[in-house]
Formats: sequence, C-alpha cells, structure tokens
Amino acid sequence: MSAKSTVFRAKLVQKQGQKTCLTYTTAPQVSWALYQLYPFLIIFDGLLNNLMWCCDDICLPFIYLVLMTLVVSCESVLSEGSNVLGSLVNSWFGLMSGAFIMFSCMYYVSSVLWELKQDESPTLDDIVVMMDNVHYKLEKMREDVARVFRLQRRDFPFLLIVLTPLNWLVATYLVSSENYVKIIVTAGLVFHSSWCQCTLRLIWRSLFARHLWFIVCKRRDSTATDRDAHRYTVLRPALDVVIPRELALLESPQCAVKLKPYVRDATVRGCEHLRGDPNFTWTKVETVEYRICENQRKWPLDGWTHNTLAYERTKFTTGWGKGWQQSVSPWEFQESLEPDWFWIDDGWMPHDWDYCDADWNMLGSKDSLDCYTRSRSWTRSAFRKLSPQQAT
Amino acid sequence: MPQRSPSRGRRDSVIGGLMARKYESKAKAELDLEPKRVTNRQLIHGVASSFLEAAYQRLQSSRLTDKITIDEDYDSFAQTANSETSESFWKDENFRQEYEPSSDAGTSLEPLKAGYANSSKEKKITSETQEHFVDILLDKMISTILPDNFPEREQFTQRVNDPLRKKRQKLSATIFANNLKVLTTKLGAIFELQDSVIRLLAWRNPSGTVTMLVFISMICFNPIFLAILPLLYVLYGIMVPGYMHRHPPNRTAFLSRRTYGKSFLVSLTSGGEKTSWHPSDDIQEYDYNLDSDPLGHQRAHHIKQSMEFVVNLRDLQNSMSTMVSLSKSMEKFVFGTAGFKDEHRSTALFLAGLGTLLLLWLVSPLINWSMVSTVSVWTVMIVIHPKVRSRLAQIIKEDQVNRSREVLERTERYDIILDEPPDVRFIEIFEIHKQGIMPKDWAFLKFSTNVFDAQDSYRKAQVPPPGVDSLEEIKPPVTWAFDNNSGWEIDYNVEAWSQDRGLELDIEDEFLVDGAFKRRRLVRKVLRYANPARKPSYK
Repeated sequence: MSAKSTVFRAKLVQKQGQKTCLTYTTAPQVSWALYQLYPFLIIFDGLLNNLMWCCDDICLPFIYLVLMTLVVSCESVLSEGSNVLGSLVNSWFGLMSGAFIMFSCMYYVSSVLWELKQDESPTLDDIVVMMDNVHYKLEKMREDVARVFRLQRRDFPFLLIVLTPLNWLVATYLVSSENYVKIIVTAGLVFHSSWCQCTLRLIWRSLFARHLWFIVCKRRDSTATDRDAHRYTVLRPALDVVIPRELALLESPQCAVKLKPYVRDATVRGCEHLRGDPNFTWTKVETVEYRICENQRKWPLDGWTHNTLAYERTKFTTGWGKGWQQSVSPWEFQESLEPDWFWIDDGWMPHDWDYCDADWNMLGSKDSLDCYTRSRSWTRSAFRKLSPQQAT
Repeated sequence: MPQRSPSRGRRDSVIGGLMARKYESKAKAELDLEPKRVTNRQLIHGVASSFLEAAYQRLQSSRLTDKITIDEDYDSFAQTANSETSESFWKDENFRQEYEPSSDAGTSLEPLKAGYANSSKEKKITSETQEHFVDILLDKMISTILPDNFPEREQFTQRVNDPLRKKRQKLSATIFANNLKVLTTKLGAIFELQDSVIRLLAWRNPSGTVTMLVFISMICFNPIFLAILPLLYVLYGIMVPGYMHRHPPNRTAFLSRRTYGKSFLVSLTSGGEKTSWHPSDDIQEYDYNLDSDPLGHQRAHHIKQSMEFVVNLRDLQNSMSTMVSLSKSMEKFVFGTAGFKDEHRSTALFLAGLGTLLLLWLVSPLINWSMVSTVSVWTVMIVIHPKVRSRLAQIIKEDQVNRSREVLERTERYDIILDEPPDVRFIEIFEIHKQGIMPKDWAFLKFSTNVFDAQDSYRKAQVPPPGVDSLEEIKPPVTWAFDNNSGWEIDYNVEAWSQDRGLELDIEDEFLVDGAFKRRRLVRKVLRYANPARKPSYK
C-alpha cells in the first residue's frame, strides 16, 4: 500500500455515554437522591427492556407474553361454562400464570436489590448512563407511538366517529371479548419490539398500505376554499404606469393589449423619469404573478418522474404547503386566462428545483440522499387595467 | 491465534472479543493442555489449504482447456457460478461509491482482495500449462480404488449409465475437494445450530427451552403451525434481522456496565451455564470504513477464517463419526433386533409393537391427542432436566431398575415359546467301492458326494473323489443339524436315484455298478430351526 493510494476518511461522532467529572460538579444531595433512585431506574429499565424486547434473553418477553395471554383467557371461565373441565383447567392455568408473573416480578426486584447490595455502589456515571438509557428508551417508545399515530388534532373526531362503531362491531360479532382482550394485550406487548417496528416500517413501504392509511386517517376535507386565491399572488395592487396619451384614448381591450411593454417597463425600471411629460398620461394596473408548481418523486430505478403517489401532490399543483390544489399544466392554464387579464411575460419562467423529503418538507436546492420529492415553480406575471373606480 | 490485548484499539478489542467468545470454549481445552498442537494445527491447515487451493486452480484451468459439452459446461458453471459471481454479489448497491472508484484508483480500499486477484491470475497462467502433481496423484488414487474389472460393476451400470446421472459431473477429486473446502467454511452455521439444539435439550438455555415447548404445544394444538412457524422463522429469524442490520432500529442507547437482576424462570430452570445463545456470526462487523487498522482487521479475519476452518473440519469429522455410529446402530437394529437374530427378543419386541399398534388404533379416536402429546413433551423435557433427572435417579434406585430388567428378561425367556417345527431335508452320500482283482472282490474306497461314474472328472483324472473314510466324519451342511433320532439309511430304490441322475448302469442289490466301481446311496435326515439371520451384503 503506497501512501498515495490511502484514502483519508473522517470518523463518525461517537455517542458519549460518560460525562466527565460529574462527581465534582454535582451537589451531594443530588447525588444522594440519584443513588436512591438507582434501583428504581434499573427495575424500570428492566420493564422497558421487556416491553421493547431488547433484553439479553429475548425468549423471556415471549414467555411473559404467553403467560399474559393465559391470564387473560382465565377470565373467560364464567362466560363459557359449557365445558366444565376445560374451563377449570383454563382457569387453573390462568391463575398459575398470574401467580408466576407476580412471583417473577417479585423475584426480579428482590434479586436486583440483593445484587446491588452485593456489588460495589454505583458511580454517578453509572446512574447517569442508566438515566440516559431509560430516557432514550422512553423517547423511542414515544416515537414508535407518534410514528403510527401521526395525526393532526383535527383528525381525532373523525377517527373516533369511524373507529368506535367499527370497534363495537368487531368486539361484538367478530371476536369474543376474551380474544379481543388477548389481541389487545398481545399487540400492546409486541408493539414496541424491534420486530414489530421493523414490520411496520416494511409494511409502510407498500403503496397499498399507504393508500389504506390515507383512507383511514388522512382524508382531508376537499372543500377548496377560495380556489383562485391560491392561483396567483398580487405583486402590485395598483401600479402606476405611464402610457402615451393616444393609447389612453383607445377602448379598453385594445388599449390593454398595447399596454404590455409599458407595464413591463414600469415593473422593471419604474417610470418616474417620465413624470411631467405632456405626451404621456398615467393609468393604474394590477399586476399579479401566477405560480404553478411542478412536482416529481424520486424512484430508485427510474430516477425523477412525475409519477407521484395518489394521495400526494399531482404533477402540477398550485399553492404551497398543506393547502395545495391540483392544477393543469401552465401551458394549458395560459389558454384559460380570464379576458381582462393580460400576460406581462412572454413565457413561463421556470425556477430551480426545491428538493424535499418524502413528506414534501423542503430540504434544499440540491439533490441529496434524503430527498425523495422535488418541486419547482413556473411563474408568469399578468396584469389588468384598473378602471378608475377600482383604482380608487 | 487470537491475542486479546486490552490495550489495543476498539476495533481490535471488539474482534478479539468476538474471536475469543467464539472459540474460547472450543479451543481452550486443547490449547491449554497441549500448546504444541497449535503449530500442528497450523501445519495441517496450511497443507490442507494449499492442497485445496491447488485443486481449485486445477479446476479453473481444466475448465478452460477441456473440450466440454453444453451440459457439462452448464454443470460446471452451476458449480463455479457462486464462486465467480460472489464477489459482485456481496457488493452493496447502496454503497457503489465505495467500490467502483477503487477498481481503477489502485486497490486502496481492498488491497488484500486486489492482491489476491493478481496472484491468482498468475497462478492460473502457470497452472494452465502444467497439471498439478497432487492432481495426478489423486487421479491415480481414485483409479486404484476403482479398477476397471471391478467385480460388481454390473450392479452399478444402471446408475452409471443413467442419462440424468451422466449429465452430472464425473467423480473428480478436485471438485470433491473444492466442495469440501467451500462446505467446511460454511458448515459453521449448521454446527452452531446443532449446538443450540443441544443447549435447548439440556436446559442450558432455559427460556429458549420453554419457548420451544410453547411452540411445540402450539403445533400440537394446531398443526398448521407446522407450516406457519418456518415461514415465521424466515420472516423474523432471517429477513427482519437482515433489515435491522441495514436499518438499525437503535433500541438501546448505551451498554450498561453490568445487568442487574435475574429472571425467576431462568434461575429456577437453568440446567447449566450457557456458553452462547446468539450465533456469534451475527455480530460481524460489516464496515466499509476499514481505516482504523486494516492490517489488524485482516489479520483477525484471517485468524478467524483459519480457526473456523479447522474447527469446522473437526466438527465435520465428528459428525461423520456420529453418522457412522448411527448407521452402525441402525444396521444393528435392522439386521439384529428387527432381523430376528435373537428370536426371543425380536418376538417380544414384535408382540409389544403389535399390541401398541392395535391399542393405538382402537383407542386413538377416544383420546385428545393434542393434550396428550403436549403433556408428554413437557413431561419428557421436565424429566430430562438435569436437576429433575438426578432427583428421579435418587428415587428410582438402581436395584429397582435391575429388578425390572430381570422381570423383562424372564418375560422374554419364558413367555415367548419358540417351538415351531424345524425344516426337514435329507442329505445324501455315496459309498463308493472299488473292484479288486477278482470280479466279486470289492474294496471300500470312500464316502463321497460324487457319484463317481464314468463321466466324473475325478475319475477321468484317475484320482479318488473328495470324501471321507468313515460315516462319523461326515458333517451336515452349514446351518443344518443331523436328526439325532435317525441314522444313515441305505436307499434301496436304486433305479429311481440312478434315473434321476441319468445313469443307466447295472444294479446289484442296493449298488449301482459300472464295472470298476460300484456305489450305494446313503440318506440321512437333517433339521434346521431357521435360516441364518440376514446380513448386509458387505459382511
């Protein structure tokens, strides 16, 4: 290996678990309180480990899960009553499982306390690392929940309205109450495992799943509020434009057509230098800018295409952010301009692409690994001559 | 050998730890006892690898030079396809920037690999021109093992000439060695599996055992789980870990210094120390950024590879020994116990089996088999738990076992009655007399199995036929016994036996006379209780 061929590489930032010199910077009372907290932290961490299935022995959470389901099935004894022996066995198993879980918990707690007593007392760093651990895991669990229930507050009523009868139907007709509780317990115990999370992430990759999700949770109210307000932004509500006197005498449509170069001049340079010139007269126009966004999504094999997902932005949209509206292409749109409006620019001006993440949150102007969508605006300004009443 | 030096860098310690964890248990005993064996092992490995390497090179070159049919070409492609495309297979589409520039920017990232490629290319060039002597040697060896006039070749012609079989590759030491080499490196997972099964059965991984029992119970109560569980394993045992490797969920922030607390289940049911539960191959470091200590990394990797190779080879040998002993005991059962070698035992076994069969047949509709099988599996697993087993051994004393065994033997001995009438056959012998000088002067010559007529080859050769001089010397045929209640009897129906043999000679009393010799036929009853027990063809 020659020195020339060696590639120099930067190093990743490592997580700094150990805080330096905590002992000297922490008040003794705080240290004491933390020390008292330590066993609880460990026990809580153990609970979290079992919930997240990230303990050393991954079979244990599974066994607890089985025991929990057995406990749940014990409750159904009264309702069944058909097979006495079976329900007796069931309830015996349920009770035993419950007792086993209880005893396991007690044993675990006592073994933690005993081992702590046997071991040398923890350093402040140990305690802080444990706190960090617990905090990190709680944060992860919160993220898990938040990722699934990525809901706006206004979606909740809709969800309640849809899900409550559904829930009732399922619980009444499809599954018995025992199974219902079993499913809920299982789901709750499994949900935070990395397998479940990975499964959800993998499911999220499927278009079908996303459609389903959109139908259930993200159905937006499609009442387009002031549709045209999104189409353009008013640049100047009343721009003073100086025009030759003979032009002002013309009828409104002919006048407006010829007005274009003067409006352009006025927007670019202003026309204060012509103030006072007797050959010219003043009129007022409203200039606006039409803006249509072109949207694309990055596909691993085809690169950037207009093939976007069904529930997200279409090929051309107007408006930005959450309030986008589907639109026709700029070249179709320019044909349908209202008669009193006239284009200032000769053509549509494309802007640079804005690269966004999968949810159309803008990230920057360059394509990068985390950019999955991009959008660019086509703009073209237009004006209309204001009548004297409008001008005032 | 892996040197664990805690003072070295993080990577080294990680790999060292990995190495140590993987091989501590396997290698420690041998290493501690006999430090010399290290060099032996290296020697063995060196020899083996060079031999296999040579064989591999031979395979490569033979592919180039031989005139091969399309089928053969396809087959050899199928054989070597993996090794040829594996390089590109392991490249990651998401990290194209990591390997593509390196191909022309000179070997900076993977100097070892590139160097290897160069050297192997050189080797290939040299080996194209000359056959490796090891190969010639091996071919010689095989040809000595399988000579052309192999006696039982006819028996195998169908197998050999089978068109499907013909398409496949011929027996070749090189391919065999190559396959062995590749397999040996990959068999680790299988042996790891074997170990983990043993760990499960020995309760050294109690929670795993209980999980296994839960799964078995599920299968018992709903056999469709037999189909579901493998799929579940593929999805969550192979695929999701693969996904998690690529997109780590990062469920834990920091590793704690130590874990406190014990599980009640584990402490209650642990049957012993478990050395490792996760196969340590899972903890490999796939790192494209081999900057910190590439040489050390290579070295560790190399050590790991060679260690693994030898350990796997040893395990392979051991499992082959197990296979051999297993096949031996199978043989013992098939040809011994099931072959009525010991007729008492076999009869008892058959009757017991028949009884069980009938009982099961009759009773099976009345039994909840899910429950029974679940309970029996749990019972068996609990009974073979080391602690329970020792308790049970205390309860069930040895003399009790012996007594029950005696009872069983007595049952076998006296409750099984072997009194079938034996096979009855007759044996014959010819008492041959020779004519003396006088026509009526006959002298006894021999008791023989040959009629000793004029066409007899011994007679033509003018030597007496094979035989004995007294009746006491005659033994019954193999596996037969004389009937003690009947002696040798003279066959007076001379006409019949001489006609059977196509002899038309003079008959004098009980003798058949042909001039120089006369003979009479003696017959005796022999008995046989049973045919000899079956034997394998090679015994």
